[in-house]
This record gives sequence, C-alpha cells and structure tokens, in this order.
Amino acid sequence: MNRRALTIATAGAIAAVAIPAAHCAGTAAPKAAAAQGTVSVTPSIMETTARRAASISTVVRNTTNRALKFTVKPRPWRQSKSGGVRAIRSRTLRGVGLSTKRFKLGAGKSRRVYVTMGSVPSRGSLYGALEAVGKPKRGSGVNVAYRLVASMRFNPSSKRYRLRAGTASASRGVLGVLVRNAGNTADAVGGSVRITGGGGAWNGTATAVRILPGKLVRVKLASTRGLRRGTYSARVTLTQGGKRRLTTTKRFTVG
Amino acid sequence: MSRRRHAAVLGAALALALPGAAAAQDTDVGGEVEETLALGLEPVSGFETFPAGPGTETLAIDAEVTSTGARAVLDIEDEAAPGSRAAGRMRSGAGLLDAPLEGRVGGAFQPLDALLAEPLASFSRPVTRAPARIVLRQRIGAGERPRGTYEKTLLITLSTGTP
Repeated sequence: MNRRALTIATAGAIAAVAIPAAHCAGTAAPKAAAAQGTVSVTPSIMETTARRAASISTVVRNTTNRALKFTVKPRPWRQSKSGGVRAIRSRTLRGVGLSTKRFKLGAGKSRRVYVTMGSVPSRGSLYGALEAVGKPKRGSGVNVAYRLVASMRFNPSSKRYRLRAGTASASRGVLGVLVRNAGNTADAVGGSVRITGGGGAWNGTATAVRILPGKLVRVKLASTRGLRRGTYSARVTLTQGGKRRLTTTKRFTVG
Repeated sequence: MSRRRHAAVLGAALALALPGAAAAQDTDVGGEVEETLALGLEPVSGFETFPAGPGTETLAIDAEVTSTGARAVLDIEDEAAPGSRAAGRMRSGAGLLDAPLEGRVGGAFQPLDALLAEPLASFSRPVTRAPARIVLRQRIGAGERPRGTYEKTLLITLSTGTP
C-alpha cells in the first residue's frame, strides 16, 4: 500500500486543531460542491506483488446526497512522453478480475471492490487503471457523472531494471532525455546530470517519473535557462530502485 | 526550530490561551494518510435548449478536488464512445449540433469530440477541496436552428497522474 507517514508532536496537534478554529469564523461558507459531498476512491494507488490470485482492493464511497449507479472497469494506461498517464476508456485491461462490476450506491454508502490477478504476464508485472464511473439519474441538458481513476500495480516478484537513453534536447527551457523502460517495473526513474560547455559546468537533478515497462518518456534533467546559445555535453546518470542503472553522455544544443 | 522547542513554544502559547492545556509532552502521535482521490461536483443544469445561431452559450460546472497523492489530473470526456458521431456533440433525438462542446479550466477551450490534448487541470501536490470551475462552451453556427431538448452526459474525471 502506498501510505505516507505523518507524525506530529502532541502540542502541535492541539494547536493545529485549536488555532484554525479561532481563525475560521470569518471565512466564507464552504462551496456548494462540497455541500453536495464527493465520490472517492481509497486507496487510489493499490499495489501488491504479482502472483496468481493476488488481490488488491479499493473502497468506492458516495457521500453525495443522491444515489449513483456505478460501473467499475480495469483499463490499460496510455503514457505520453511527458510521463502523464490516461486510462484508455475504449479498452479493458486483461489479466484481472473484479469482485463487482456494477452496483448502486445510496447517499453515504460505500463499497469495496477487489481486483484479482489471473495468470502472471510473461513480463512478470502488470500495471493498469481501475475506473469507477458513478452516474446520477439522467435528465435533459448537460448531465455530469463522476469518473475516478485509480492506479493498480502488480509489481514483479523479481525486478529487472533496464533503461535505455535516447536523444537529449533542450525544449522550453528544460533539458530532457528520452528514456525507454526496457525492464519490468514501474519504479520511479530519477537521476542527475552534469552539463559542460560554453566555458562552464552545471549540475542538475532529474525529476523522478514512473515509466511503464516498454514506454518511452522524456525525463526532465535540468533547467537550461541562463545557458548561452551553443552546444553542450550532458553526463546523465539515471537511477531506479535506489541504484544507479545507466550513465551516458549526450550532446544537446541551446538556441 | 527543533520539534522539541517548537512544541515547547506552542505549549507556552496554549498556556496563555487555554489555562490548563499547557502540559505539553513530547509524546508523538502518528497516522497514515492513504492515497485518496475525491471529487465533488455541484449539480448543473443548462444547455437543454439553444437559440438560433449565430451565437455562443456557456455553462459552468463547479468541482472540488481532493488528492493526497503527489499528482492528480482533472479531465472531462463525453460518455459517448470516442470517435463516434455523437462524441462531444449535444444531441436532440437523432439531431446533433454542428459544433462540438468545448471545455476549459482557466486555459484555452478544447473541443470535447476527441480526447483532450492537455488535461483540464493538473495538481502536482496534495490538495484538499481545491476548487476548479469547468466552463463549457457551445457555439451555434449562423443559420443553424437547434430544435427540441438537448442532452449530453459528461464524465468529469479525476485520475492519479502517475501509473
């Protein structure tokens, strides 16, 4: 499970509760959207080790003041070169089964949905999205439905790390390098860069990004603002799973 | 400021504000924040009928986003299958408006007859009840005569931004 630990001192906790309460008296009333409640999925990132019959689950909760009809489906991801992902609504992710696919949730009700892995893919891992669509009663005009997309990670029992670096380029003030994940895990890829050229040297830290196995993503390495026009050399070190996986030198041009 | 000193200062402050509450101890309390996505939507009504063109109609949908993860994305899609004739277009019986619906949150309008090139909004840090106003726009062409009552179901999508 992906959880973030939160620890605070007792006195701090008391203050955190007491002080805002005193300050909130004059603030604006909550927005209508909040008054109508929400539809939520918790956890929104589910993960476990891939094995036959491995199971993960999430809770779909309806705190709105009306009943909603839900449809839940597993979807494959589409990952863009920027690293962003979208669940492909026209396709269904194969290799997993759901405990329930359609259900109605009254106001204030919740339902746990289990996702169970069938056979383990040859790659040893499976990454996808779990889509929950909640629709109210339909009327004329524009109707809005809730669609929440959670992440499912069936991580490999034996991780293989393999990264391949493509071209490096400076675009919109950022140096990036194309990286293909040829391994079997979506562990975040990070790293560092040392840029030389133009009579100087600069260091940068890559923005960590999760790359789906087989996908190509542009990993942002450093800002190029302040660099003069010209050709530079970048010594790129990529890390994944807490270890250095690839070191390569790329040339790029600013201007 | 160290946590111990921080706690002591807060304890002293509380002693002034709340007599009897000054017994601050360095007992840690803890908790776990599970990754959560929550979407609130204000009920919306509109775009049932349209005047004859040319003209432009707009409609706002107020949303609230809660995400405890590092990244979340707010999007909008037509319920109709992507690529279908009705995708992104207001429907009245068998009739469709010529121009697709368009949507935006702050940025430029994007047509809803295809997947959005860019998400409506991205949240690159945890947020609680972050407001987002989705504005829909419908253009009516010159000479276009909308008839009947129109309808369309839109999926307001809140997604984890990372796989």
